[in-house]
Amino acid sequence: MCFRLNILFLFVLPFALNAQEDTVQHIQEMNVAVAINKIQILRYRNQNEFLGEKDIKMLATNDLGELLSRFAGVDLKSYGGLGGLKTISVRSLGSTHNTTVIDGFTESNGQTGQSNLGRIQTDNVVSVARTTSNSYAYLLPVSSQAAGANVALQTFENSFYGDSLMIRANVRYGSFNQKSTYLGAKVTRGKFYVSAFGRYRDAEGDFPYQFRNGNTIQNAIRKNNDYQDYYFGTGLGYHLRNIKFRFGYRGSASNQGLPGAVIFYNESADERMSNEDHTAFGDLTWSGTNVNIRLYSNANLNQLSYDDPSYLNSVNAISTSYENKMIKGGIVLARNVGDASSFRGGIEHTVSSLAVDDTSFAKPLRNHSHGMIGFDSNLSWGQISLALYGQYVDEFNRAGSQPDDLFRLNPFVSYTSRVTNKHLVKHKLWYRNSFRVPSFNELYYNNIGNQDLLPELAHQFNYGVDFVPWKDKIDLYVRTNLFLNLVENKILAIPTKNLFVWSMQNITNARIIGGEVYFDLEWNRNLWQRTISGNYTYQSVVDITDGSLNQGHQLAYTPEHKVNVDLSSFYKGWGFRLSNSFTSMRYALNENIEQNELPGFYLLDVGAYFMKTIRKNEFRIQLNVKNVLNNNYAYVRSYVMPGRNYLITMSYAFN
Amino acid sequence: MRLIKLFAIFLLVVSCKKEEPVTPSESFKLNNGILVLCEGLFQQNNASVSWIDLGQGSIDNQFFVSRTNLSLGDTGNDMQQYGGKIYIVVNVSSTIEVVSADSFTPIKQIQMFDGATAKQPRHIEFSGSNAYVTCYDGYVDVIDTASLTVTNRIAVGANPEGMTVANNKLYVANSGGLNFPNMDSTLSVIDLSLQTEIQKITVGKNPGSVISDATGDVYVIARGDYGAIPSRLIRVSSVSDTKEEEFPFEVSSIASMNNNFLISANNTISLFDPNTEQMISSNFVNLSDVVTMYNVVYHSATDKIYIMDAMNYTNTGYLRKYSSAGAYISSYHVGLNPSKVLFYD
Repeated sequence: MCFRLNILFLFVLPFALNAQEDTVQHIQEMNVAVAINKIQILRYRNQNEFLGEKDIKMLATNDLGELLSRFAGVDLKSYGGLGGLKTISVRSLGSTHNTTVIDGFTESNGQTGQSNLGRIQTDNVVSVARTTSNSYAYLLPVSSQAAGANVALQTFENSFYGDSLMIRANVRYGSFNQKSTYLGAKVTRGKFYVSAFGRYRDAEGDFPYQFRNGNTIQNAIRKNNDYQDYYFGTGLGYHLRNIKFRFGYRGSASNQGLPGAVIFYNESADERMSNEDHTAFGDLTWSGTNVNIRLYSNANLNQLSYDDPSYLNSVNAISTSYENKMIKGGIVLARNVGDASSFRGGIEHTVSSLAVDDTSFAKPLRNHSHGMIGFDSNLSWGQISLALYGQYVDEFNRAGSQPDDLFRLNPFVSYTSRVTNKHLVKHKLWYRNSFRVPSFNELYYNNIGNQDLLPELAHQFNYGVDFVPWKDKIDLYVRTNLFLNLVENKILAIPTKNLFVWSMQNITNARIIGGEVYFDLEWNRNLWQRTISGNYTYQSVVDITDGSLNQGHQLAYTPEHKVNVDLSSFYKGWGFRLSNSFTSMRYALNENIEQNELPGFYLLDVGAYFMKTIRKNEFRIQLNVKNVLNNNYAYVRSYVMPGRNYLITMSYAFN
Repeated sequence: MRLIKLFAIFLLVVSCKKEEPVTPSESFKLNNGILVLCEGLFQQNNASVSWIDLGQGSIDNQFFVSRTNLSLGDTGNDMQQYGGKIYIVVNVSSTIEVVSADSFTPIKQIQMFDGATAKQPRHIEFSGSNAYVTCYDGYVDVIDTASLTVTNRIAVGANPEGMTVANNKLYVANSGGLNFPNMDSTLSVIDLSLQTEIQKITVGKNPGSVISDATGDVYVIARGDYGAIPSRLIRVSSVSDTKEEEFPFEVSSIASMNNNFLISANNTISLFDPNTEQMISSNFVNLSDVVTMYNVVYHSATDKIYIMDAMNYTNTGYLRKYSSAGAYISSYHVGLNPSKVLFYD
């Protein structure tokens, strides 16, 4: 019936040791372990998927979604190239189990339950880490600790590290007439810093692509892909003895065409979306001898408008506006108990609401409380970590009925062995229980929403071994993980009455068995520095629902194999990087038949730069060629991605 | 470095796999089989046609691709034979594929666009030398079956769906589905001589399928709002062009079986006599093997009932064969969401 509404639903509904000093600082700022020497960095990097500033610059990704696709265990869903919706799924849990934390503050959107990673820029990001266990993350917001997985970003502007004046600037020009400019500055004077940044980006966005139509290869131009956005913010920090205050604001505005799916023989596309986002945040961190406490709060206002000027209803158009509001506050603390143990705890409360100018839509308001207690102990045979999370959700719909209140307890337990020998061999074993509540869209969206939905549960089991076979002249870090995830009551939209009458349902139980291998090899000789890093992920993601038509089938959009291999070489001011990624065949629907196969793809990206440093001034010019082999590919069926494209970046930094 | 080069070459080779188009056999003739239109799913470009070869005992679920080297497109909504041609209406791709009825050789793809806007065709009916196509932009397009060009556009109500010809008039259900929850409730009457709408009859909320009986009465399914307002079968007189009767039972699809109607609702099929307006049997076909009843047809030449089973709408479906007494005989595994069939005896 109203299939275009589904489009709307979709959218409203993601190394180097010579940078050791920066890496240490960034790790500290992320409120993770206090890493002060090379070995500790090795351990940190072995525990978490991590990219530092140097990697991020070299990859020159358009957004956070593209960046995170470099990580093991992360599957990207991208609905187009520049500016398109991007979400990620960590170990096939689904994007809504994942939280994104920027500078220690959780991004959240009650309407869709997930962050559009295509809207998060990476120009100002100095590090990004992905973690599924609790280690090294004890002062992150309680909600992110309770989530199935989280991604933590640290930006240049909201951290205490740095000299008296730091400037970052770049100008980019690339294929599809994409242009961007970024300027950020931070002044540190004694005990305080103040910072500001701004970014402007636009692109015509139309790009040529090839696609398979039956047995025929055809060429076309992807249209209505233009994009314009602004991203800006400011930060202020004050450091008084062992107390740190931070306050900041981040805003963005965008207006973009929505190219939609490629529909054979039908190139019409004129839908548009605009977004305004405002986030204010602040925290206080007190670091005592035996206790660390962090108070934090952030508030967000998101306004989204969707327009379809040729919708075939009585007024020949759709124009709908959504306003999401969220305010969050919490406290987390960690206290040493004796010499080898610590206690941690925290509480957090979030209020979120949604208002829609469509009077038939619900007016939901949600109170979501989190509590957490944990205990860590370093014993002679290893480290034990225990945590229990409690969540209470109270929902209120001012325009009708609402689901019942919800209370859940979710435990986490982990054991990490002591490093046993010179190769820093370490065994990790952990279990996490988590859930995610249905989003406002899933509960209320027109006739698609379903207020009887149960929360989607996840049980995660992990065993891993980390080791460092070589260090000194040649460094090699290896991290391996085997994992088993069991997902109950997976929430999916399915047609229920006919093809155009869909509804959200808890219909699937899934079993995910997988393995990850990560390695990072680095060697330095004379002035040369070379690295090879990579990861491989295997995932068997199987429907285990009793009576399901697809029992035993691999779930849609979950590749069994994913490989990333990056080769980098640096000499004096020159740098070169070859990035390879391979994603195996996936199914576009849950039934594992040939017609549903979405071909695997291989991508080769190349980046090269020249950098000149004159005193504290660093000038850099970088060229990136993406999808060098001009391969045709899509993360999501009918959402084609660009072929070979180029990006030139000129940047300046003052340190 | 050698290993790295070998790895890059390996990936290059893996990524360059290509297939050549297949040349369809020119001597192929459709005979002793069943063509099944499978709608596919929205935005998946996977509408398809299955060919069940009863002689060979084989099924080709990519028959359209096999015969044309091209995909059918997105959301195949209707398939009818008229004269020597088969017309396939592809809703989201906004095309009508015309192929020969004897060999399924492509004749023409009619692109249904008004400027850059897709008209989104839904159903097709025929009368004389014209085909009539409901388009979701509020028109019925008239297509000359010889030149295969659109010769006229007749304005009707919002988002028209099913049609039937009775008494030299075309009855068009105006669903207004894209105005949900404020759908349309009317049936447009088009005089085929004048090729213009002469009247709108209020029948019930969200009209969809339309069928006529041997006496010239027109039956419309008003689908309600899929919630509080239930679906209903409405009888309209093609003589007076007035609503005559609203039957107090739910209905999701309707098909002729000799002089009776097969009426489906809630995964049951009833047999209804339009002459006496009485239900002959309320549970006429044993549907224990059917997961999701999507459409039903009766094939008079073999005296069999065929049910299209959409399973869970995202899994490939089945065409299930029953005796005229409603007893299960066999099934054919076809494509995604089978909805229309054409028989070759």
